[in-house]
Amino acid sequence: MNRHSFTRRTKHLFSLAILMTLSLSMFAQRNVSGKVTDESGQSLVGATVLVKGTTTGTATDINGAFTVNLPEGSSILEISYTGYQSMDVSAEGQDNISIQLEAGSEMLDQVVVVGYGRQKKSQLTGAISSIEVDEIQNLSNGQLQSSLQGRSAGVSILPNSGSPGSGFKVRIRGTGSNGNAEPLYIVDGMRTKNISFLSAGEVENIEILKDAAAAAIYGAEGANGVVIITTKSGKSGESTITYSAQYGIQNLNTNLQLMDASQHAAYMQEAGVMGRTDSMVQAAGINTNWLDEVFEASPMQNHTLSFAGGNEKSNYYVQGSYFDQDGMVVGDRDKFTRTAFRANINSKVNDRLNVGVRINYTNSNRKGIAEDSEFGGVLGNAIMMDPLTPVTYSGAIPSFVQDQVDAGNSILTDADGNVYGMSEFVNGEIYNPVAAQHLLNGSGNTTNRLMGSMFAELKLVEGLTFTSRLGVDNEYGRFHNWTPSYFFTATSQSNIATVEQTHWNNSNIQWENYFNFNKSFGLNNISVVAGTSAYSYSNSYVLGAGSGLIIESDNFGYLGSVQPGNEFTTANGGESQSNLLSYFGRVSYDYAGKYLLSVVMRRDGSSLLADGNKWGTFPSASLGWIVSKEDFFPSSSALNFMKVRASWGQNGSLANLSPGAWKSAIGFGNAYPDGDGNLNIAAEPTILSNPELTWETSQQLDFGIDLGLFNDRVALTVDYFQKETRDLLNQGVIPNFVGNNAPTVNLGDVSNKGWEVELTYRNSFGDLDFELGANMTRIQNEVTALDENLDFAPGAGVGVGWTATAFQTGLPAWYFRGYQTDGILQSEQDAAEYMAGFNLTEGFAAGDPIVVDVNGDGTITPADQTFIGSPHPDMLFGVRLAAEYKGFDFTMFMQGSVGNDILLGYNRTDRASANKPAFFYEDRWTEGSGSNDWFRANSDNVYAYNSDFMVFDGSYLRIKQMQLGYNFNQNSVWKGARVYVSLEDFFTFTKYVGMDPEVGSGDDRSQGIDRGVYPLPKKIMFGANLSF
Amino acid sequence: MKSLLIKGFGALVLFVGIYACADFLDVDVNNQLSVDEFYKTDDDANQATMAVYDILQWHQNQWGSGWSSPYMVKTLPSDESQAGGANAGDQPNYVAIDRMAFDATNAPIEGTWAVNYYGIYRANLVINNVENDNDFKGRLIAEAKALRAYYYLELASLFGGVPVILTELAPSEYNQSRSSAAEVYAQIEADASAAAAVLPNKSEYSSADKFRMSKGTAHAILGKAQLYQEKWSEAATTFGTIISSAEYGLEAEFSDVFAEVGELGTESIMEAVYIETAGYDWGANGYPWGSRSESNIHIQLMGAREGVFSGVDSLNNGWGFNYPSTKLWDAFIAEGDDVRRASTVMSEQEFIDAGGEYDGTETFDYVGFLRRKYGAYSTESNDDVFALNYGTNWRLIRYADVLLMAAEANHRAGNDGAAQTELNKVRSRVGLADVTATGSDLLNAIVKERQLELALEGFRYIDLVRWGMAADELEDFQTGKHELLPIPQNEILRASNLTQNPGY
Repeated sequence: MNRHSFTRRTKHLFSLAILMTLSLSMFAQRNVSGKVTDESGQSLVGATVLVKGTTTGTATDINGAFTVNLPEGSSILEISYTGYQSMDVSAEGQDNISIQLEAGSEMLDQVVVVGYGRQKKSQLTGAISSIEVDEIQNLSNGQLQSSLQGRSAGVSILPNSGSPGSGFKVRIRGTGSNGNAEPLYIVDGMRTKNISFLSAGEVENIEILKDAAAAAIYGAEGANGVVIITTKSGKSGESTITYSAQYGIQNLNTNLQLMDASQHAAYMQEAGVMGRTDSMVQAAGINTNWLDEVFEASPMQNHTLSFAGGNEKSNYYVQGSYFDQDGMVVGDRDKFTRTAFRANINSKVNDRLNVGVRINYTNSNRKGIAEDSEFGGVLGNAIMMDPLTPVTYSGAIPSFVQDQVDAGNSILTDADGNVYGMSEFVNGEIYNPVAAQHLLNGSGNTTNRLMGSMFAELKLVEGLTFTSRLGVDNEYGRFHNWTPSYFFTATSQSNIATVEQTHWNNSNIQWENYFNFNKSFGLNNISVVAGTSAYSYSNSYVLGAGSGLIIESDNFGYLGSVQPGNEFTTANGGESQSNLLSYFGRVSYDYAGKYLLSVVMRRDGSSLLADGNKWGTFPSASLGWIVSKEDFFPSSSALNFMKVRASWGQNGSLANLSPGAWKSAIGFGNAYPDGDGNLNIAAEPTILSNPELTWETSQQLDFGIDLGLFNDRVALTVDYFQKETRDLLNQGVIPNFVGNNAPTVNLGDVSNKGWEVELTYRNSFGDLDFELGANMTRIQNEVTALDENLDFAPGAGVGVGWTATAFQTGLPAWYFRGYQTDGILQSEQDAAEYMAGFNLTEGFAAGDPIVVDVNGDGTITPADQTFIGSPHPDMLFGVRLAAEYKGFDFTMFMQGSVGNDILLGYNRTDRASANKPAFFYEDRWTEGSGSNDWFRANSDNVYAYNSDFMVFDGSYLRIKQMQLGYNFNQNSVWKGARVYVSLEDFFTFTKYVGMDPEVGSGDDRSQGIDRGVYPLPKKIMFGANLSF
Repeated sequence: MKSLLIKGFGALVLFVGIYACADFLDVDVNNQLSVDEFYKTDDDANQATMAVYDILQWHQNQWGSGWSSPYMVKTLPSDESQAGGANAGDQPNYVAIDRMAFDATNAPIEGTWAVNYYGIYRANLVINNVENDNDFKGRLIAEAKALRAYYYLELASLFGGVPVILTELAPSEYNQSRSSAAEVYAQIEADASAAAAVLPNKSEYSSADKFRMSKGTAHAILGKAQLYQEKWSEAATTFGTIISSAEYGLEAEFSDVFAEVGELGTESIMEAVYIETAGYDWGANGYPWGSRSESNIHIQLMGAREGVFSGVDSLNNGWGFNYPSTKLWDAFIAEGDDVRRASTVMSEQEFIDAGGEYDGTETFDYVGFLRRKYGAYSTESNDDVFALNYGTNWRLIRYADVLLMAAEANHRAGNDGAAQTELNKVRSRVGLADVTATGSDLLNAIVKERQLELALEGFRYIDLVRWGMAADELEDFQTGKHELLPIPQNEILRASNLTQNPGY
């Protein structure tokens, strides 16, 4: 490229810009003519020619020619034609213009929703990913988040569980906090923290704002990224009725193999744990595979009926949907149903005023089993329960069970009256997982949610509109459960039935007012947004719990049936509110659609913080340069579009603040009994005060490049980002002699940096249309600062006495912490020498792990626990293949991660006879085996169970969807109809031997810990879409 | 169009006006009261004082991870009991204390340190914030002083000199230094004396208020502090005041001392109160793990290991911690002390003879003896979820202890006659012959008597240390180190002026 000509040219452009700004009024109204052709010079008939920023325009005639009246002050023509890239052309000083449009530009010409406005994708300066909604319409998941998994670079979506209706961990550009790092969701302009009420069918488009510049307009709430969701509207002219239905069967999909009865007996014998000998096992003939007993094939279905239409004045979209998923755990105790209605209406009141409403009502019900726990979780117990115990007793019950019956304990029976099996070996919180379902009765969690907003757009003058939007999001929920009296073990038993009923209400009110101003001055385009937002969130709840039901049955499983005068009945309730007031502005400027600049400023005030610290300002700036629009850029179809971007900005997160978190206040929650057994209120300051408390702030730098290749058949976007989140909220660390709990303090930084690549390829070969989409993300997560009083912040516990995750400077957030090992002690002599070397007299024998003295103090202590793994993947990826041939279409979508670790967290060293995965037995060290793969049969050695032996590679590739569909011919009676069959989450490639490599934990500090997760079911789905 | 424009801007002005309401960002937090609004009324003062008592319940705390109970920390270093539990990995910190293998990172030791300071903080709030403008408030301030003295006595006897903190510290004051043990004891004596001057006798309290600090409690704390400082004659005088007050007596039956009937009874000077009616269950009304529960979960913790043992008479199963030692059993046998033995410890054979079942499995740290003192009696809990609802009070100071301390103080002060009198009161209750020995034989008799009378109550380790007998009696005890517990490592990291105790 000729550097001199570039510089000269730039100079020229700037002087031209100044000149034009000054001379706007010098032009009078005039006519401009021209001709629009395609790349090969063929005339384009019916192409739209608009005077930019006005409604004045015309269409080209049969020769591709046009004449348009150019009003005073206007000089730019906007030329568009379906299937071609739109183009802005300056009519400056010319009366006759030839215009050549380039083909195939839809990927870059797409309009995307940014906060409080819309922008052409090609003009963006921030990092924003758009989800192609067509891709997710026929997925079987009830939750929108799961449909987003793997669709966009930089976005990690981890299911908390495979159980129906469970939530997700959504992380945009890494884990940006030690606590809640969920993004902000904006649904039709309304902000929310929870989008479980949405179904994929009602969504028009989804944008993910990833860098600080894109999210900065959301200021104090944008630090973890923003997901903007727009729901469907009707289109003028067409009236359509659409019905779609799906039915599917879910099945267990796991690599986990547990020890069978004889393996269990042999392992426990070797481990020196009381149990049965192999001959006793053979004689008893019981070999229960608890995983088989706990899971069963279960159905799910989804129905959506929608009506859409409109005329020039108004349009409507009305939808009803029903989703029903029965979980895989036997029986109906895990189940999710959702019934939702939507009405979106837009109307032009007059030339200046548009109004509209968005209303959604959702009723959902979720029943769930106890999960994600090694203390009484149903799936944890399915793993740990010994295979020597039957599900139920077929004949006479054994004497130790009879003893419990005789003692008057409540032994549970199945529907046929058979007594559920009780273990002679395991105890405590480990008991029959099939019987455990009886602990959950009642209606579970029911929510009724109404989200509605009304808006008015008033055009004040040409280019200036004022928008006001007022909305409410009201969620009424209730939880109801009752538990009969039961006896599993001496620890897990209750001789009294208990009941809990909770009613709660989350209420959000939001009022936003803003101006949009768009103006072009010659080739200078400026767009301004300025406005305010007031947001109020309140929560209230009433809780009642009681023990002792008059009759233990569903009809009596309510607080109203608690035995009169029962002193255990408790009631609780509260109400809290927080308000946020914001002022925001954005100025976007471009010159000739080539040089792009955007500056955003937001100022937020939050009631969650103390006076003097309530307000914060969040700035951002971004630049873009569409290099391919330069004259010097070689015109070639191989590289037809190129844009480079850079952005910097700051955002906040309020997600981890709660009302009064900074404030030392008297709490009345404790009590002390007097001599007559009555409780006296004990009142005390609950925490020490920290009026300095403020929000977490993330600062992000982003460099990106967007390329269009081969006439946009290939689109490639690459971004590099560095995100530093500062002032993480941590429990303060102070000397205990101060005598009270430290307040939350802003101490701790975490950094996420990495690369994102998104690639799309589209082409046609005769009747075959083919599309490939792929994305890849590399993220490096590291804690960069923490309270100096703290070596590390302790995280989640696993089993008894092991803090298995930690937050520590220089290491990934909530990494796995335990003993590092270096092989196995091969003989008693090795063990003796090893212990002598470390001044130990007990604790190690042949077959035990060799623990590394990490801190070098000459002995092995808990202080030697160190980094043994990270739950964060090095790389995430998603690949989508789609092909259409005549009426058939085929889609395959795969998603996966590389380099993340999983911690096996369902081993209880204090419950020696608990069952374990089969490889504990098969791979165990035995005398003379010389193996270093796995330790000897052993149930309680902390150096094995709290060590890197429990850390496994969690990399996986999962074919999330494989769908084959058929579209009926336009001429048939079934025109517009499509039928399909789909395999979802069906094939998984992983080395992980646990339940499921993909599913995680709902706890922020437990990412990657497998306490017996509920695996994602594999599904076979049948579906049909009909249009009328 | 003009009119629309004007109306549009009218709307704008309206909303800006509403936003400008300054109090939009001032939102009150419900169910909470600002600190400066509190400590005013009699009720405030009483509730604040209850918070000082409340810390006495706080044994199942969770500093670090796992269990961190002061009772266990005081009991396990002694020769009375074994760590127990499922295995060495169940609560490794307790095992470390039992084996004298603990270091400054031991979480239960840190928890014990912290809990006492949490009590002191709450006492300071009452003493400094409640205005002494009527008798009731004056009494509450005195109760808080007595409790503060108790908490400091716990710290001084376990850790030696510790920071003496009498006010709420500002962040700039967080780097405290240790005071000398003498300074801590001086503070204890000042608080206990001031409290004793104001507090009523126990008999003046209603039955509901019997749990409160009384004049006798303050004297007992004072006397104990004097005894620990080897101020023999002062201690003897102070204990004499309690004895001559006639406010206290011994339960006629030793078995009643630890039974429900003995709670806050004639022998009770200070207790941590628990109830069996809190109604904790495994569901919605769950046990508040780590918090100050109203029930004594340690009784469940110390019950015979479930799955290994099954029930006998009124004893429930538990989690199998803190089994009695062989040495304790042998001491009872050697003394022929069957009355107290029967209420303190039972052998495996006695257990089986009484109808208990033992599956014969080797269970960690169990040496053939099960506990009866602080045993998991079904009568001490509710019938519904017994594991979580034991109402057994900790007996922190009882009259028998005062008599034996009086005996010791008198002996050391050279008054063996008075020492014999007090010692023999304790012996005669359980049918043992009077001791007539004098001199070092008398001291040995007092030592023996404390071992048997106060077994498994958390005094033995401290007693052995102050008698200089720990090295002889306790396995793995290192002289020059194990007389004191280590100052928690975390505390030194956060307040670098703190010095560590020798040997750690």
